Parts: sequence; C-alpha cells; structure tokens
Amino acid sequence: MSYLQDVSLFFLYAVLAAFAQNAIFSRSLGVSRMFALVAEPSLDTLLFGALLTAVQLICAPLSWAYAHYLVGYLPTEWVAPLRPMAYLLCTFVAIAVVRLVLMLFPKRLAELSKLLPLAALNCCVLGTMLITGGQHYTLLRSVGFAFGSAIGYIMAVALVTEAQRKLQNRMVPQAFKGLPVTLIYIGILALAIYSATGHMLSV
Amino acid sequence: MKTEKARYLVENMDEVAQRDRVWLNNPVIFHTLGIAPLVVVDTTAHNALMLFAAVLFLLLPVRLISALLAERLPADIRPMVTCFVAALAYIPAYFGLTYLFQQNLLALGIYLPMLVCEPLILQRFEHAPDTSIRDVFNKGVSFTIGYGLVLMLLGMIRELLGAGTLFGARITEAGLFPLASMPVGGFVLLGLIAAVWRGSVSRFKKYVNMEAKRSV
Repeated sequence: MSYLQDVSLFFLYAVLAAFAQNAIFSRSLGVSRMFALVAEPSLDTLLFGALLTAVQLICAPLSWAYAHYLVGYLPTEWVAPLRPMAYLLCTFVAIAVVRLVLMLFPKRLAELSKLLPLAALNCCVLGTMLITGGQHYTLLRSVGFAFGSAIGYIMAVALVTEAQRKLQNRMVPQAFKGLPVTLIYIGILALAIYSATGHMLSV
Repeated sequence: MKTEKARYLVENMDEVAQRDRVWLNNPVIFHTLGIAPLVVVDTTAHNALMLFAAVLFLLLPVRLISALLAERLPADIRPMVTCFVAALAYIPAYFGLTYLFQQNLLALGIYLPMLVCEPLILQRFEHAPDTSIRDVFNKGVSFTIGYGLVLMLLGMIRELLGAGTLFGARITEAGLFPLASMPVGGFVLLGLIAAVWRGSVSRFKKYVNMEAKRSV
C-alpha cells in the first residue's frame, strides 16, 4: 500500500511540474535557452530533452541531500548566498555522471558533449532545485517534480517550435515577427494554464 | 540628421549596431537574453531597480574574469568555469544587495540566485572571445545599461498598469490591467515592447538610408 502511495505521489508531483507549474509557461524558467533552441534547427530537441531529464534526475536527490543534511551545518547568514554555488556543484556532479554514461555512445559523443552544457547549465535545472529546496520537498517529491519539470520543458519547447510555422505567417506584421509574436503566443498559453490553476505561483 | 553622419551610419551600420547594446542591438529585444526575471519578478519599478543592481554586480565581473580565463581553459569546461565564477561573484553581490535593499530583496525569490545560470550573464562562453579586455569591459557596460533600460521600462509599465502606482506613489485609482503583474502580462507586455522597439529601429535604419541617398 505504501509503495503504491509513493508511486502516486511521484506521478502527482511530476504532473504538477509538467502542467500546472510548467517551467516555461508558469515560471518562465529557461526561456532564453528555449529561444536559442527554437532558433537553431541543427540542435536536436529530443537529445537535448533526454540530457535535461537525466541531469534533473541526478540533481534532484543531490540537492535534496544538501537541503536536508548540509544546510544545517552552515551559519544562517551564509545559507542564501551559498545556495547557487551548492546547487551548481550538484549540477557539476550530474554533468560528470552523464558524461561518463555518454562514453558508451562514441559515435554521437561529440554531438552530445556539445549539447550537455546547454542542457545542464540551464535556469530550468537550477530553478527546479531552488523550488524543491525552498519548499522543503521530500526526496520522492523532489525527484517527481524534477522529472515533471524536464518533461514540461520539453513539451513547451515542442509547442513553441511547432508554432513557429504559423507565427511566420505573412499576416503577422513585420515588427511582430520573431521574438515579439512568440512572447505573446507564450503569454496566451500561460494564460490558459493560469486559468486552469486559478492562482499565481509563489516566486 | 547631417548627411555625413547618415552616410557614415549607412556604411558602418553593422559595426555601429554591434557596439550599441543599448538600442540598436539590445540584449533582450534582439538576443532574447534575461527573459525569465523580466517576465516573472519585474512587476514593479522597485523590483526592476533591485534586479538592475544585481545585474550590475554580476555581469561585468563575470565577463571580465571569464574573458581572462577563456584562453587558458579548454572549450569543454569553459561553461562550467563561467558558471562557477558567477556563483562566486554572487556571494559578495548578495551581501551588497542585502545591505542596499534589506528584506525587499525577498520579492525577487528564486530569480535572484538563478541569475548565475542566466544566459545574459553566461553569454561569454557561448560566443567567440572578444579581442581585448577593453572590448569586454565596454560591451559589459553597454549590456548592463541595455538590460537595465528594458528592466526599468517594463517594471514601470507593469506597476502602472497592474497597481496604478509608480515607485509606490499612487498615479491612478486602480490598476487598469491587473494581469500585468502576472507572468502572463509580463510575456504579453514584453512582446509588445519588443515589437515597438524593433519597429522603431527598423524605421531609424530606413530614415538613415533615405538621408544618405538624398545627398547622392
């Protein structure tokens, strides 16, 4: 019974992070990186998504361990200024682990190595750790939220990439083409998500 | 506009735009950098001021240090080192910001520490290194001013539309567009500002072209 409860909790937090608290549409995490991905068709979005998910899944338990075991040893006034450094170190560990795994794919190693820093050093990864650490999530909730956050990010990138075809329509005034119309499009999607959740998320 | 100046601008428009990160090549409007804090927490002029101070403390030191280190480091680890430098620079920056803004800093939430991973700060490692430290310094200053300009503009517009105030002083009885204080409003208003900005730059370039042709 407890096992089933844990699995449900994991998926509940994953769904929450993917939809109601979507990284792009609700919290705008990693929007600048998303624009770079959309503008650069040579970058493989699926590979990027796989690397992002792997990094998020490794970072989640590390950041949870930091927030639960190590923070207590720090003087209170140093917790906030050291937070990004601590989470970045978690990301570096994740990068090292993923890089080791990538050695198993020597043919695609160059391509994957180019994408890895873009996926790992992303506001979506750091933002997710800051949220789960700040809201004192349990290990299971943290991993579920991190997984959902990565899936939500990939879905948002796919949605915006797909929309580019329509947004490049001749009917769109010249000044609105590119960034302006894409921002308004994301804003409309964000409004749809806001109407479903019904409240503004805490920052 | 003087004909000589118009001709100079037409002949060197790319170079001038490359140097001008405030208007002709603004980091937000033309390079989509630093969008997250703009959209979510840049909801008041005071928040904009705090974010501007944070960028001021972080951007230039990180760019200068990473430029000094860039040539000595393999390309593979350069992104991580730049991020690490940003996280190191964040420590004194945080204490400086706390001294200046005290508890108000909490309004920036996770978007303040997230600046260490923001492409606006880390852009150095993604592009070819500049030729000299002086170039890096000039570009860094220009970047900071350009980003600060958009921050202040959007923050003031959102505060005025969302709450009817400006720097806390009441201007209208109520907010005309309450959604402006939410990320939704941030996306839409930033999109509109970007369209007006891009349109005005495009018109300026056309005007300069016409002025230059008039003398021929």
